[in-house]
Order: sequence, then C-alpha cells, then structure tokens
Amino acid sequence: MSEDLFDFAAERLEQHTSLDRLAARGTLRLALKASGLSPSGLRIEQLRVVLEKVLPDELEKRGVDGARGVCSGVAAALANVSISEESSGSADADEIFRRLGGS
Amino acid sequence: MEDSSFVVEAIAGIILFAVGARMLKLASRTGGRHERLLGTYLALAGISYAFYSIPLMGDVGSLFTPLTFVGRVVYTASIYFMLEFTRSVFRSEERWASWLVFTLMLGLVVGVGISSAQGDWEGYLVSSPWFWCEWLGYTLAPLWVGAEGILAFQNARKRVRLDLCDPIVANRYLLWGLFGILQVCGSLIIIPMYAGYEADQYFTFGTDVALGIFEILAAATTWLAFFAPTFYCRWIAEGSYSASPERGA
Repeated sequence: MSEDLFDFAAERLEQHTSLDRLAARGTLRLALKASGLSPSGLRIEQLRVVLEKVLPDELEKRGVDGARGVCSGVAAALANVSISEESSGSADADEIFRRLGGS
Repeated sequence: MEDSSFVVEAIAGIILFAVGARMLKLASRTGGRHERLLGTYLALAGISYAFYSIPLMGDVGSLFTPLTFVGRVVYTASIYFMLEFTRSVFRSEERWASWLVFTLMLGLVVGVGISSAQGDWEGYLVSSPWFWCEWLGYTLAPLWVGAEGILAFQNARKRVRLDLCDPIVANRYLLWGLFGILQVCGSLIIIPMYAGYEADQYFTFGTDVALGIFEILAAATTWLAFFAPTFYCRWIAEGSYSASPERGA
C-alpha cells in the first residue's frame, strides 16, 4: 500500500471521528499550518509530532471526544503502511539551509 | 560618489566575495548544488561591487565607463544564481517559479543590452525606459528572496517550537530574508541617486551614504547567516524562538 501521507491521515481521521471528509481534511490542514508545515512534502516524523502535539487541540476545538486517543490511533496506523513521502518541502529546505552553515 | 563613501561599497564587496568564496569552498567539499549556486552569486556580486568602486577611488580617465560596464554585466550574471538558488530551494516543484526566473533574467538582459546599445553603458540614465526594465529585474529578484526568506522563517519558527527545526536554521532563513529586503532598499535608493547623477553628473552625498549603509548591512547579514561566530549560534540556540510554550503540551 502506498499513498499520499496527508490523504492517509485525513482518511483515518474521518474514519475515527464524526467529522466529514471536508472537515477532517480542513482540520488536519489547520494543524499542519499551525506547525509551520504543508501537506506537500510532509514527512512521517513531522506528522507524528503534529498528531501528538497539535492535532488533539484542533480536534477538541471541534468537539471531538477522545481527541488524543484518535490521534494515537492514526499515529499507530502509520507504522503499518508504506507511505510515499514527496521529496520537496520544508524538511528539504531545512536540510539545505543547515548544510549552508557548513555543518 | 562623494568623498570616500565608495570605500563602504568596496568593503561590502569584499565581505560578499569572502562569504561567496567560503561557500564555494564548502561546495567543493560537499559537492552540493545549492552551495555552489549561492557561492557563485555572492562571489560575483562581490566582484561587481569592486568594478563599480575602483573607478570611483581615483582618476581612471577613460576606464571609468568600461570598468562600470563590466561591474554591471557581472552583477546581472550574479542575479541568475540568486534566482536559481531561490527557486531550487523554495519552489523547485512549481512551474511559475521557473517562469519568474526566466522573465526577470530576460528583463535584465534586455534592459542592459538595449540601454548599452543606446549609449548608456553605465546604466545610470533613469530617463530611459530600458533602465526601468533592468531595475525591475535587479529589484524584484531580491524582493522574491526577501519574501521567501521571511515566509520560511515564519513557518520554521513554528517548527522550532515542536523540535522539528533547528533554531539556527530558522535564524538563517530570517537573515537571508533580511538580506533580500536590504537589497531592495538599496535598489530604491538608487532611483534618486541615479536621477541626481543624470542631472549633475554627481552622486549626492545623502543617497550615496544610504546606499553604502544598506550594502554593508546586507553583506554583513550574509556573513552572519552562513558563517556566524560560535557565540551567536549559541545565543540563537539558547534563547531564540522557543519562548512560547508548545501547543498541546
């Protein structure tokens, strides 16, 4: 199984909450924006941090019960699938700018 | 330029060249394309500043125009590397960015080419429409650099709070963005400066000093961004952008 990381997380979110597709994707998008990330070029380790530290608050704001449990469930699902990660994104720019300092 | 204020431009050129040369040395070690692009841009910009400054340091007679023209051509070439660096770091997947690089370079080459063919070898004639074609090229390029740098910094600052980005890297985005903004300020100062030159064949002191200040600040910013001293790195790493509490923590 190989699919876009953002789509995968949004689908799991939709399955585990009362949010519809649009709301699930929108909520995840807002959580990414609050984390300085974008759906394109998202990395698994970045998504894990968002699921742990940012998304629970966003879900609670929308009245989702057991938000932390939902996010833990989505994070656990990430371990069982093969997800394609795009090569572009903040992580790549970060790596380039890290290298430019000579480190 | 009046008095010795051209020295400031020469110093800015030396700093840019030094940072560029060091970046190229880094590129030879890592083989990285981005190091090479950035190093080439900075080194060429530094060389062009030298060509602009030398004719103003003393009486070079008939060499004034050729030296200034070489500086202008080298600076135009340097802009390509600045644009390509920005595109490949921040917008490598987006087609509009390639078109932006192409359009700005076309504007620069056409502006320099036609104004030179019409006899304005130095590129100082503000009354010529081709001056503005060139001016837009070398002003919009750093404006893009500034916008991308500041935008990247804003997002990186959020990632720093989540331990997803090194504070030094976030600060590097900020400084690179500031570099672009300072370059744009220099381009804006050039307008009254060159207008004065066209009228009196003389650079007025105020604009001359202002341009020198922006150039030296911009050059110093590149040094701080990419080869900052240890104490500065430590200060950024310790204080920096992690002052606000983590969300959800």
